[in-house]
Amino acid sequence: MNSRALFIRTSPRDPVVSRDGRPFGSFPGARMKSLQWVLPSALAGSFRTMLGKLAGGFRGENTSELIQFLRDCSIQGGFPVVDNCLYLPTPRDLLKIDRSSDVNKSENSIYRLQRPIKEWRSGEGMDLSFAGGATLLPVLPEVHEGEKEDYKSDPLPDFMSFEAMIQHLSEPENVGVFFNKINHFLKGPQEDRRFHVKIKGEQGAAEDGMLFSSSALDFGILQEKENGIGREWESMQLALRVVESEKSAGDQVEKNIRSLFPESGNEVIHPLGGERRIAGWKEDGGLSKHWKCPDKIRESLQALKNTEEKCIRMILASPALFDDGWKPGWLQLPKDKIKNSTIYYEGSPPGAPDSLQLRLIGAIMDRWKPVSGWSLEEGKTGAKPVRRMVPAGSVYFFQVIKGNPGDLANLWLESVSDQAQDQRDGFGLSLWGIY
Amino acid sequence: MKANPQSFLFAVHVGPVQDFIVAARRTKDLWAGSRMLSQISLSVAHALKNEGAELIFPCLPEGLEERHSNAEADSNETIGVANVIISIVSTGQEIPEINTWAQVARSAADNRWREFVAYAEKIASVNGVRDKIQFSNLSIIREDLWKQQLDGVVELYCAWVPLEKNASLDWQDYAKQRTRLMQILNGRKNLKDFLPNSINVDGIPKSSLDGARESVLLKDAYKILQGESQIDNGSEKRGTGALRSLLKLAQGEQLDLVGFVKRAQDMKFVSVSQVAAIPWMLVAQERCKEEWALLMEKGKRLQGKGIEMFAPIRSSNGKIEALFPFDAELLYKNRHSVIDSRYLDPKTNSYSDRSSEEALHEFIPLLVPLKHEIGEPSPYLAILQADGDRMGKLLQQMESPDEHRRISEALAQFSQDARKLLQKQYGECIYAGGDDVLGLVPLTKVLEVSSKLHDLFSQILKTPIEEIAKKRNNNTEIETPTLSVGIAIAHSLTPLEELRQYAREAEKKAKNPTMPSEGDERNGFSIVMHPRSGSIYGFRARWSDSDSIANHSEEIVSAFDQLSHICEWFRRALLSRGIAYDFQELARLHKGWDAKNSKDALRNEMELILKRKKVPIIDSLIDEQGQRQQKYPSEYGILQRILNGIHSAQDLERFAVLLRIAMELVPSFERERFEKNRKSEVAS
Repeated sequence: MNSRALFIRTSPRDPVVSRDGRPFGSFPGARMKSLQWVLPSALAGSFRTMLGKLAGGFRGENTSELIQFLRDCSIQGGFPVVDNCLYLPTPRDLLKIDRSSDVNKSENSIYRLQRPIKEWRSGEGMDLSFAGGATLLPVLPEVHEGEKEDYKSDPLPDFMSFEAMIQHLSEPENVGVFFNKINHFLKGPQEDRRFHVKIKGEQGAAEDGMLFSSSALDFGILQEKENGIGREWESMQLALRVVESEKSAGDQVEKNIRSLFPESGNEVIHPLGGERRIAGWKEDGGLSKHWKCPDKIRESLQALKNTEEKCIRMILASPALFDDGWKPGWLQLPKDKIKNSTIYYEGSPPGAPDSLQLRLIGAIMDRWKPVSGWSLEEGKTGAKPVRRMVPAGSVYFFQVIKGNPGDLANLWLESVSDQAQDQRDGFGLSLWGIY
Repeated sequence: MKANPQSFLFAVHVGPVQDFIVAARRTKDLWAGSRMLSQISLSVAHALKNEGAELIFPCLPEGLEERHSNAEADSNETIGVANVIISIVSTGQEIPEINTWAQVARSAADNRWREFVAYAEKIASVNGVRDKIQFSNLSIIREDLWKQQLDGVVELYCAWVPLEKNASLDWQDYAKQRTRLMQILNGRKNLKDFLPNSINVDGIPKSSLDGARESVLLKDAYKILQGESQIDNGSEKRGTGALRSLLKLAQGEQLDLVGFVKRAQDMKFVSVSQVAAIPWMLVAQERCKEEWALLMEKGKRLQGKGIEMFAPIRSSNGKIEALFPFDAELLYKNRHSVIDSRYLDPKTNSYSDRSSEEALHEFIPLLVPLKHEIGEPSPYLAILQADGDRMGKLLQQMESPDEHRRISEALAQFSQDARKLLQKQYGECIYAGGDDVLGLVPLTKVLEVSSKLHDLFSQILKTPIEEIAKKRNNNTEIETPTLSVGIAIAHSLTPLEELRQYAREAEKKAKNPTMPSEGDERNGFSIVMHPRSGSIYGFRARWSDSDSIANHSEEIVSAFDQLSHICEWFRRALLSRGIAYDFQELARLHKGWDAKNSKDALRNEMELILKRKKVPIIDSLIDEQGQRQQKYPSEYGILQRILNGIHSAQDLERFAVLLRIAMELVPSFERERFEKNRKSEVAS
């Protein structure tokens, strides 16, 4: 574990404004829409601003050095924590068939794993728009004997517990049994919608037609207790890891995060997201265990060393930005491809030894999501351009073609995004396991 | 070398639904997006057919030619094409590889999209002229972003499986191969690959429709459209009203390329407030003939003078155009200040256009006698979304392309008839294709439309299914699918994306019951009311209602029939509105009581409420023999049967919701007519 890492628990006091890119101004009927979760860049931006203020603010002589220092710090995470349990985005390779309205049901839902087919049957296939001639196999639900073949997934809750993720990644064959037993899921925050009017200054009355609405994420949730007993309000918090830059901050900025941040237990109050909505930020070393690959997964990855087919999965725990859009830039077609032979994307993820080579077999992902934002940096103030993210929960299926699969355990919750700044902003955090 | 001919079952999925349909702020966005997606799918189907593919789904009726030349809406357009196309294709000498078929589909989709863009570009550019209408003499778009966003908008996913003929030249294992094809297509849809943005420009606002792309509008586009003069290349220029009314750009609104192309389409679709006002218009036209005629005459005269706010509305439904050819906002008192603000100069607080001011002042006073007689129009309307039940299961049972094609034909027929059905009842059909229908319907017509739509669906599918089963000669039973209909009632000022969401939720509710009293899944209908202020309420029931609201009684009145009867009774003033709230309160009081023991008490209290409210439906008369007789025996009988079915507080709560929904479906101006008649009847 990096000694320069700090683990933070963020407790939103107000509903958090996590706006999408739609313009919002003082026009009649303007509506502010919220995303369903906080973007990594919004969380990183809020945290860096807070650190900057703790370091003395952005008006001094050394502002540019300070900004560079802050930008070099990695701020990663923003995972929900409820009742001391950490949750991660539900992966898209889990399939749920809701049977709650079926009278002959033996259980409320059936859970299945979706994985790439073993091989194409003769003559069948699919087109790939942006695969550059590489082969990819479709990812389909597992079908047990005697079952119908065209399962479609019912919507899954937004998050699943850390424990469930361990199970999902280390014992894929038992997914169906495991998920049926206990509810491991968590819904995202509720939408808090407010209506606003414009007040005429001189009269103190509302101005005609000047009606606005805003929405935000309410982190207070109603917990339905097990066994039908009790319903109570819990607050959802956010867990994040901050890793200090290894570069020096410069002589004039003789600060480091640990000296800036109060001792464990003391909370800093600072806005998170838009509209200056307040959150409490507190160090919590107890969260560090989640950033270490669980032993069960590490062992299952290591055990692949002795198998013929080394099938592994990479789940995105946060949305990823890749140079090639849907595909990580570190996956490339082999340079010496032989005509008419089947070719695959291959490569080694950032942070892994070069000796480890992965081959992309298939992937499952929802449509791209936009990320832009508003720059407050002097000289660059204004709207940032739109970039396209691979959504959190997307899954890439690989085969290890060279090297030790056990090495992947060291990449647990590390970023696989292509650009260093995107990595430091918390995009593309990865979870690894077998399938 | 001669390629070996081979046949495949080939599927294409056309998207994205997000950009074309979900991203919508105005009815126009939704309508144009659905239409564009449908047209792109149609072009793909045509392209495959022209290259020799045998289409299985959709079925393209004879004579339906692809419109290549322009993107203008055709008012006679009666076919909506679902965004999945299934066909049998062959590879051989001419098309040696199956991938070529994917290219055929892709280029057809892309070409159609580019036609839509070219059309929009023509009217948005400098001196944009179409049909002799000058749209602009100053470009309002940023060309760099326009070009950047052109590529990669249409998302196409293709999948295929081999198909072989047996000794008797029939396609072998069709059902099995079709299931496999849909599996692979789902696998393909699971991988939504994309390219990154090619240009990154700072400082550009994002689209107001979904924020997913940069706006292609110039900074001053709104001002140009509002007619403020701009200096271009040293000369002063102004935007034109034609482009303003076409784009309907709100202040501060930004559009990306897809949004702009949607707005630039020639609209043949009315606003939600137009549909909401239809019940009022119909009553006004019938009951206040002279005043109505005066109003229409004045409007048409102002229209003749070319006054913008009286510009003719354009609907795909001629009946709506004929009923009231002006913007229905003119009828709503609380919209007058908004109309004013469009023409008032904020600096001088006077009208920039004197003729508009005069027109408004001549027209609005003519509404006074009408409103005195029948009151204000209701701002609420119904958004209906319907979808076939268990269609996947039905298609799985199709053993040959011919059988499947029979179903496709029936679905094409349904989509055409569904559109006509909606139009007949003054509805505006946003989309009807395959087994899906989405439309706006006036409140007073929605019960009739939804029930007829439900019957139409099963009726149209019944014949081919029976024929298929008969032809097979092996006593196979194929269940005729049903239609679930969701109806959301909402205020016409509700943002459109929410209206669409409400309709989708209502449809989901119609399909899936959330509590046992709502009956089995599918074959359902639901009505959900979204008041402008107050909480949402609604109910769900099955169409065939053996398991509906009153499953304890032998004499069941289905929930739908209950609703129809209650609406009728409200209309005839046989029931008073207040009982809904009294019943609701009674249900609240009885909640948690043991239903078995409190059943009689509940019934007695319901009767007591009806007596206390003096509802005419329970009135009785003494006949010539001195016997007490019910004044409305048949209505009274039905009411008793309904009440017999209420066994618990939960049943009563549901019934109270039904009463409240019925109140919304019968606006006050419809009721008053009968109340007045009744009063005069009593007086005489």
